[in-house]
Parts: sequence; structure tokens; C-alpha cells
Amino acid sequence: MIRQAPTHDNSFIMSLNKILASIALILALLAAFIGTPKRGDRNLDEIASLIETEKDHITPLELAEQIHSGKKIRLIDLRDSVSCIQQHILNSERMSIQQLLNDGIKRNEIVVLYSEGGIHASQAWMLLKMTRYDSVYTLLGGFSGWKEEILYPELKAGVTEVEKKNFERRKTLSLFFGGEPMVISQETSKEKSIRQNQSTHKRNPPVKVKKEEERLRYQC
Amino acid sequence: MNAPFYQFGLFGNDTALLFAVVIGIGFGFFLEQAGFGSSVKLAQQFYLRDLTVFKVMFTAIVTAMLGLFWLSWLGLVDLSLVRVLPTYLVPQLIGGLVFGVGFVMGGYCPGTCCVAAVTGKMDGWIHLAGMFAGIFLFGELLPLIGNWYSSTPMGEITLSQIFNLSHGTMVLLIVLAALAGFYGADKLEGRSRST
Repeated sequence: MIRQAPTHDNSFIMSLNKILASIALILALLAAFIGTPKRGDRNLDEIASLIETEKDHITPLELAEQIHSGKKIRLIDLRDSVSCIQQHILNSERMSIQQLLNDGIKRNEIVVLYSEGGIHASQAWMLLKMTRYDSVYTLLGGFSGWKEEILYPELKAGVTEVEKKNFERRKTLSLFFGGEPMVISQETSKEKSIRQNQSTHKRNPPVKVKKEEERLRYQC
Repeated sequence: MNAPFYQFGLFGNDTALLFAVVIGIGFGFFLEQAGFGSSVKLAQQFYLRDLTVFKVMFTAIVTAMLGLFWLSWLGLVDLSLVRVLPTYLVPQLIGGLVFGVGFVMGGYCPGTCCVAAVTGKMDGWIHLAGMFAGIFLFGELLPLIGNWYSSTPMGEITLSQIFNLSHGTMVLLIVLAALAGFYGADKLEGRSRST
């Protein structure tokens, strides 16, 4: 005896297929009328909120830890080429703000911008945020902050246990990024402050002399 | 928090692997339910006798495409954040040819050979072993073919950009092509059954 497959199942599937095909066609016709879905520019309130809640930046320590743990972050150096060549953060790329805006970065990657202090980076951040680059941050304190906190962290004499633990954490990161962590004893801290005073004096001569030098330079 | 969630730190590696396992199980289940654990059924595709593979895959493409378009229109998905694999024209054409030859010869593609293997088919296991041998060989040869492998780059290009059409128009054309393809596939299968 030959068993026949039940026909009502097949007709149900055929009907369902026709219904689904019709739905797909209607959605496609409507899509053709819409064209390309538009992405609106970011609301200024949203940007203000990000700044106020400090979600616009990342600290040097947080950045160092994330890079050290292997997280994929794209670092953009906005300083001039000379500064960049002298010293920069490991694996960073140098870019001008213009290059950054002209599709220098992708929208679906995490980007951290830094400049010397942070002003240029903040300006670039604002421009990118206005055009809906979502995962962009600035480095708090810029490269100067990076040098102080990560490349050349210092452990001064007479600090608390918590600060000592904190320094150990920074020391590992500093060595990873090619820095020079320093432990300063009470004697050396005195010596260092003297050296600092002397070097400060050399860098910034008394105002009267500096103005005279400037006057002569401009005359040339 | 925007997608892609893993990249933007919403969850870490462990959760990402868990999602991968769940998605993988779902994918394997639906492949098996569609009958793709059978090399005979899969190979029939190339003889134009059973075009289930074509219909299932094109249905998946149309579903995902319509879903992405309308979710983007609703503002729930930002299409500029969706990763598009970069195109390297010649290497990918050659790779597709190698893939196609393997598919016809073995009767499986990489996903379906896993389905066949875990449902107890010996040819699925052999195909799986062949796949890993091929992956190993490719890895060893990559330093030699590296330059060729990344030749003829076209960037992260889409059909809309190639044909200079809006996303919506492209969606309509692909849906029309799919429906025409499904109709044609039914006709071919009907003719093959009657002979």
C-alpha cells in the first residue's frame, strides 16, 4: 500500500510562503520609496550630558590598563610631527584633525584622542561627536598627563599603604610602556627639589632679562 | 550603549563565547532541520535537482537585509556601525572557486559538514578533517601568498555603492531577484521530478 503524503500540509506551506513573499515585496517597495535611512546628527544635550558625567574622557591609568589587558583601542596623536617623533604612546597613530574628519577613523571602533595638554583633543572630540562618532574619548591630561602618571610615576617618601599599592600597579604599566618609575627617598626628594629649583631658574630667567632678549630678537 | 556590544565593552570574552555557542547551536539546529546534514541533498543543488540550499540561503539574506533596513529606519541600528568585510576581488573569486569545487566534491560546506559529523555521518567527519587540513595548509602557506592574498583591494564596499543606488532601491532589486529565483527554482525542481 502506497502512503500518500498529506496534501493539506503542503498547501498550508504554499500559502504561508506566498504570504511571506508578499510581505517581503511590500516591505521592499516601501524601502525603495524611503531610499537611504537618514541618521540624524547628535543632540547637543546628549553631548553636554556626556561631558558632565565625565564619559567624554579616559584617564591615563584606565587607558594603560585597557591596552595592557589587550583591548583593541585606536590611539590618535593630534600633536605636531616633531613632538610625535620625539615621544608618543605605544601603537598610536599621528593624524591631523582634518584627516580625522575625512574618514580617518571608523565609526565602529573605540578611539582615544590625545594632544599635548588636551585642548586640541577636546576640540576634535566635539567635532566627531557632532557627526555621531559614538566611541570616541579624549585622554585626560593629554600626553603630559600620560608622562606624569604612566611613563614617569613617582613614589614619594612617607606615603600610605594604599598609595604604595597604587604605585606598584603603575610601575608594571610604566615598564610595559617603556617608562621609568621612580622611588624617591627622603634624602633624594630634598636633592631633587633643589635640582628642580635650579633647573627652573635656568629655564625661566628673570623677566627683565627675558624681555631684553626678546627685544633684541625682534629687531633682527 | 550602541552595538557592536562586544567591541564597545558591554560584555567581555566569556559572555561573547557564550553567545557564540548559543548562536552556533541555533544555526546547526536550523541547518539540520532544513535537511542540510545530507550530502546527497546538498550536492543535488549543483545538478539543479534540489534547490533547497539556494532557497534557504537567499531567504536568510532577504530576511536579514529587510531587518537591517527597517531597524535602521526606526533608529535602532546604525548601519555605519555594522561591520562590512573588505573586498579583495581576485583572491575572493579564487577562494570562492576553491570553496565551490570542495562543496560539489564533498557534498558539504564548512557549516553543514559539522552538522553531518555530529549526526553520525562518517563522510561528515572526513570532510571536517579535510577542512582542518585545508585551514592548516593555508596558515602555513600564508607567508608565501600574503601579498597576493591582499591584492585587488576594494575596501568595505556594498552593492549600493557599486551601482550608485540608494539602500532602499537595492533592497527592492534584491527582493525581486530573490522572488524570481524562488519561482525559477520551483520550476526547475518540478521539471527534474517529472523526468
